[in-house]
Amino acid sequence: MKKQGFWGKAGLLILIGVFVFSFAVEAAPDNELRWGRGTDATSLDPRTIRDVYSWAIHMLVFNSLIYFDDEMSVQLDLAKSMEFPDDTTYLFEIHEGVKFHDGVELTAADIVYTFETMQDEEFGSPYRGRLSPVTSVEALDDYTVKIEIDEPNAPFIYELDVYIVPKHIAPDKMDKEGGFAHQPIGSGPFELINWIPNDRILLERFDDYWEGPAQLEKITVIEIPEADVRLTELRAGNLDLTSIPSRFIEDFQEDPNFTVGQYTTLNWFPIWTQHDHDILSDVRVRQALAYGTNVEEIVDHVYYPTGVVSIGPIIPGTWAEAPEVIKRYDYNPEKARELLAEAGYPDGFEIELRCSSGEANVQFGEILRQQWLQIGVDLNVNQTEWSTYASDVVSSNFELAYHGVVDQFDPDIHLGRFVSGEINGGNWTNYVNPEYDEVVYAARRIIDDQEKRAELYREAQRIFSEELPSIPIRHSILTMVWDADFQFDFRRGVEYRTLNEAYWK
Amino acid sequence: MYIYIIKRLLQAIPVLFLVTVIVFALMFILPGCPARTMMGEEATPAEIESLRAAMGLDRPILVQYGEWAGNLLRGDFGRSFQDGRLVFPTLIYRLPATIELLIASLVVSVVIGVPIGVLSSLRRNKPSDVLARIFALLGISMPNFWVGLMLILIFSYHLQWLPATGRGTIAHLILPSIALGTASAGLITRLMRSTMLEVIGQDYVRTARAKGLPQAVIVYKHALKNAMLPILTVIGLQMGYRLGGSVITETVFAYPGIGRFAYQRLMQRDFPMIMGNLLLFAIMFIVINIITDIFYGFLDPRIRYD
Repeated sequence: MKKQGFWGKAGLLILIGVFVFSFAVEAAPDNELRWGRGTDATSLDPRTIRDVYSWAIHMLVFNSLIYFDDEMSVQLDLAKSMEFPDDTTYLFEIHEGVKFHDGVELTAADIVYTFETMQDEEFGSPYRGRLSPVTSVEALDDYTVKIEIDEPNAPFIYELDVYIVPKHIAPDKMDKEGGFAHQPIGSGPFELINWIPNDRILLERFDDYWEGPAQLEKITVIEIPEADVRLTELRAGNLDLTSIPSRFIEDFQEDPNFTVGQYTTLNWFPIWTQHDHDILSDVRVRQALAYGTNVEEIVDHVYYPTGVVSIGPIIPGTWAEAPEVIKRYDYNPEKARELLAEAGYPDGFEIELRCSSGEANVQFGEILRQQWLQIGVDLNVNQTEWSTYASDVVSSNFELAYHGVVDQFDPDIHLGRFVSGEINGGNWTNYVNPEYDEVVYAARRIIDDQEKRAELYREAQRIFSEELPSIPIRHSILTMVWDADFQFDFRRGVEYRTLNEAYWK
Repeated sequence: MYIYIIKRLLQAIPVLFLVTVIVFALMFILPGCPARTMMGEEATPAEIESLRAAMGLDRPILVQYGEWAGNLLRGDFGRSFQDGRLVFPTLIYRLPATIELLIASLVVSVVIGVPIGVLSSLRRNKPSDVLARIFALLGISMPNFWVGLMLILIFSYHLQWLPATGRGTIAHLILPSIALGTASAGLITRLMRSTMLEVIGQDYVRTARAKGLPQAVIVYKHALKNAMLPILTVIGLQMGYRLGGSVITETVFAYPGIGRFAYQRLMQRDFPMIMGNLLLFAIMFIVINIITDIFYGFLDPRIRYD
């Protein structure tokens, strides 16, 4: 009996020790950022993938020739200067003395190599299609690169925002075994120390960074799938930077211990309409559906505080925005019914909306169904999981569909989706309008006159708003929350690039 | 004994074969194409088709199964569609975390379930018995993701006693193992109570009482040992079911085991990884059952392994 008592006490002591120790190791070392995310990166070879979670890490580990700031204007990164000798040529002079994490200098040859591998059919980069206008990438000397494309193409410059990999390490074949993709070497302000898939990514400051070393010494990216749990860890001080469930955003805005950073993203969520469809090909029907949709109510109920009402494909605050020419469809069920009667559907019709699964989409579908019942339209909401949904949408297998499109660095990117023919991965609504095509194509060909382009896009937005090839619903707002002692300039376009300059007070 | 174990392992072979067939068939029933998921919404059908071909997904199902099963026999679980990592080492790397969690949750459910069940049977229909029965009912009824979130809310968010996520120390293990063990604790409590009641009514217990043995000896030496046998079966089975529960619990607690990994890779349609994961689950289930059966022998000398 006595012996047992001893062991019991010893066990208890050990347990207490473990507890104390566990709290001791929880405390973060100075100058580290613990960044919680819901999803892990997929590949850290920037040529092979561009999902936002991988991309955020690419931003820290690599450099690109150019990038875009919050106003969507071009900023130089590796490039010291950028010139346009003619309408189809881009000439970049790059900084000297840029080092990769292994000490080797980054030269024009690395840039040529990066582009060549991405263009290689066998390599199979998802960028290949986007780089198809490129006819040659040439190193004129160690610090000058000339890129030529087949025809004047203003939005193409957006495709030059690619991260440069080292020629002497990065494989020239898609690495099925993922050596480089798991242990990349770049020239960015942080180098990868370790990546435990679906758990954490450890980054450390690169002391020889060409723009001078970053302030932070260490960044630990921790994957925590549940948003509520990320919030708990942020409050408990186990995370410094993360995204949180939207219903808590207001709480954090009022809390002096945290900073809330927000911006309108480059995303656009319309109801895509199928123009090969007998009923939907009638513009009066599309206008009636727009009049019958109370977008304010939808955004307030479903997307507050992460959504704003959209009146067209152009992102608010970017240079091509022209709200003054846009025809508005303020909620008016009366007018909607009139238009439907005019189009030959006085008793309405039945139609299917496809969307992917998810709570917000359930609510969206439910509210829209109720609203459209008022104008006699019987909406069936068909939810499937994302990959099924996406397969059907890109093969135009839908009547109405609802999802967002991303990354409108250039106005052409969202407007170009409605041009007949294949631009930016295809026009899945099958909308055909030669007048619209002409305007959008004309704007594409002007490479050096933004004002002239803006004028053409003004016309494109006017046509869009009258013809309604799809019904605009919302843009989204991105929110990040971080410790108030952490000084971080979080902006659209630039995003995590500024972690380079972020510091602890 | 060894012969018995070998026999059981041999019996597992057809089971595993069946598992591979089912697992493989499941991948084809799953909606959504992995090539499409990988390429994103902007890819053209031709690009997707070429990726499908590169991944070997355009070949007849039987050919694909044959290749996969053949490679399995050679110990090659294949590579992830998503990131090219080798399936087997990736899973093995995460396996200890899950085993740790399973064992901890087993300890939680036994340490809570058995004593409460015994006490409840000895104080039948008294207030403490009613309380125990309510506990058992709640334990069984509460979904484990909810228990997990509540534990995080109370112990990590408000009290800040225990970490909500991660792995590394015993402190990290406490909340997830309680979340995962609660349901089994409830079940064990109920079962313990009813088998104890049954055993206590047996002749040999009455004899023991008539001999004037103290209550403690009757309960522990005579009743509990006999009542434990069905409990052990349930514990074994529950260990297996808990593998399923680990998928949810590990996701809630961002615990780096194979359960959460299965969930994440399922969302990505990473077929080789999911198949490897399911297979590993099946193997663990079989092993747990064999271990349970061996334990019978220790508890019940009447059972012989010939």
